[in-house]
Amino acid sequence: MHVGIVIFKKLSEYAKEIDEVPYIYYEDALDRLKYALKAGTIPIPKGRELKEKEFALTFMAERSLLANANHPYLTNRVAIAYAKSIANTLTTKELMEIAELLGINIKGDKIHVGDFLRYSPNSKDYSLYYFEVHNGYVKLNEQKLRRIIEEVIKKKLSTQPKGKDERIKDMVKELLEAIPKKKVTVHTGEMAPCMKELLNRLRRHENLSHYARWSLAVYLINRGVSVDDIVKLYSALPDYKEEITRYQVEHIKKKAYTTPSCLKMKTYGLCVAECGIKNPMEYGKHGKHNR
Amino acid sequence: MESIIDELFSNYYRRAKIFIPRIEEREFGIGYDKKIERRHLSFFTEEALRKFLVEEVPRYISYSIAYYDKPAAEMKNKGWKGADLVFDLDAEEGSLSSLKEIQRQAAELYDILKGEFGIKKALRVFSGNKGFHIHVYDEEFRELGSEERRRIVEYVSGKGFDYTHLFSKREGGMIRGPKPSEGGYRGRFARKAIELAREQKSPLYNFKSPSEREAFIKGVEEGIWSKIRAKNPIERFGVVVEHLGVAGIDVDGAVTYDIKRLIRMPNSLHGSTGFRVLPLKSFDDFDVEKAVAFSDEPVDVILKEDVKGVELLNWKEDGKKGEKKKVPLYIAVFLALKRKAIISS
Repeated sequence: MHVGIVIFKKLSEYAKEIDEVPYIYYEDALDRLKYALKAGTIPIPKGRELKEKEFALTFMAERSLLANANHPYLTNRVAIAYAKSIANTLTTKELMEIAELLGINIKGDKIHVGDFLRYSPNSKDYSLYYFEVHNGYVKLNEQKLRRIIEEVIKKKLSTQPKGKDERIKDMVKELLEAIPKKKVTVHTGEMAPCMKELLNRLRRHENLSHYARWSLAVYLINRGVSVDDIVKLYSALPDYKEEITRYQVEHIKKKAYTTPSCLKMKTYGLCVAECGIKNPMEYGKHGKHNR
Repeated sequence: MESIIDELFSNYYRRAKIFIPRIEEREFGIGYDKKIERRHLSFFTEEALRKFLVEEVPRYISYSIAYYDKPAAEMKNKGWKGADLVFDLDAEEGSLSSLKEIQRQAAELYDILKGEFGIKKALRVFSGNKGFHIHVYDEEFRELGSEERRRIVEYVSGKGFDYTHLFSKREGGMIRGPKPSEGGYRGRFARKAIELAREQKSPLYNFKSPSEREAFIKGVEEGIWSKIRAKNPIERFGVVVEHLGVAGIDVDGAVTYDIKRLIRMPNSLHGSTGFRVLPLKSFDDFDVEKAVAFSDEPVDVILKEDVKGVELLNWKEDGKKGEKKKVPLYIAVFLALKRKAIISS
């Protein structure tokens, strides 16, 4: 059975059977997490993990390690690794099965428009204009369905698990040490509250939306921050890829985009204060602001 | 303001039909001089709300499109549980023609929501002033966030639609594109292209013979768009966009994105006109006169400024500032609420 299906179907059954995951599974779990952290994908199950139940126990141990580490970068990075690996390796039949397990409203090759809007990437390739939309359902090809399933899994697995287990203290320490550390200080003077918030969320390793990333990058470029510094800053993103990030930030610089207006920021739910200005760039320019 | 209007409003609410799905989970807001002056109100039953309206007689009453655990709590403690999907279409000015245009757009939006988004439970209302609302109650849309709702607004507005994305070039010069039988913009585009191809002086292409025309149309029906001798076929299909017509439903996006919005209560009275916020069976058979809440019994008014009829209500009399006139009650209320007259009897 595919690991994805084990996770979303069998896990709850196995979890009922056992009180505590035996210690030996934690060693495998630690190795797997360190691998995911480094590679951005999950390792192929080997040895005892090949057995469904054994894999389930290892996965539970992984969740427990993530809970104890309580580090958003770690949780998000692992969630993305699982999501990508699962979505890309399911057979078509398994893909449909997992969609159902995840509670997605699917009928054949069509997905409910609500789920489509919730889970599809916000890019031109997923603009509703170019799909068959009929009676509440959007027709998808398999590749796009995979991408959406990936997004759903990512969302499900990036909820921070909770729990405390003293037995694994040292392992947690080892795991936390494996997180790449790149501290960057960006001297931006006084930042607009919305941008400061985005920067803080970035530093907490939250998986910012495409629009949030774009707005912050445009703002920082317009405030004179270098491409290098922005790329370093964005390395805190759990799905960070240096090459892609650099390309996109350089593109922003080349195109010389204007910073999105406060209205736009509001529309995207990114506005956090009433500053009485029209564009985040104006913040701090004309003396004091309300908040 | 005049107590006679309070009395009229109060009497109206005594008998008004109040029907609010899950009333106990909604926040209410009221106003006397503007839409919202007090909010975070809540009512457990329709009768409790009626009692409030009859006694307090607000000029404006709205409720949240959102459902909350604690609707009367302050914003951050309310506990958002989902929200109706709501659309607000407003005419640019109060003229009849402007209202007619927005009425047409509202009807079109409703058709798209039904046919493409598959909505089943929706309330259509006249907003009581110069526009229309659509409240969608279907569960599948209730938990959508602002971003998802923004994408729906974008879809119906047609902004950023790039028709070239509907086509892909294949080997041997073959061009694949949408079929007329498909849903959404794809099908609409294909159907319109066929319609244009059928025109005698087709803006799509100067077909040399009927068989050439038929060959093209037959191709499109199967999603093959290359059966045309034009040099840059895809470029040429751009003309379809100009005739598409669906792009450009002018929804006030801010209302749809705002998942905590307060929206005017259906069947309440609008405090700037005295019209009913009227639930409609169809956008097509709406007429402002159907929203009139008061009788045509003549009453005396004293004009506070020059008045040149009321176009919306097809009332054509003029009057000078300071003049005393006899007018139908509903006109008197309209003028009084616009602060153009005082009701004196």
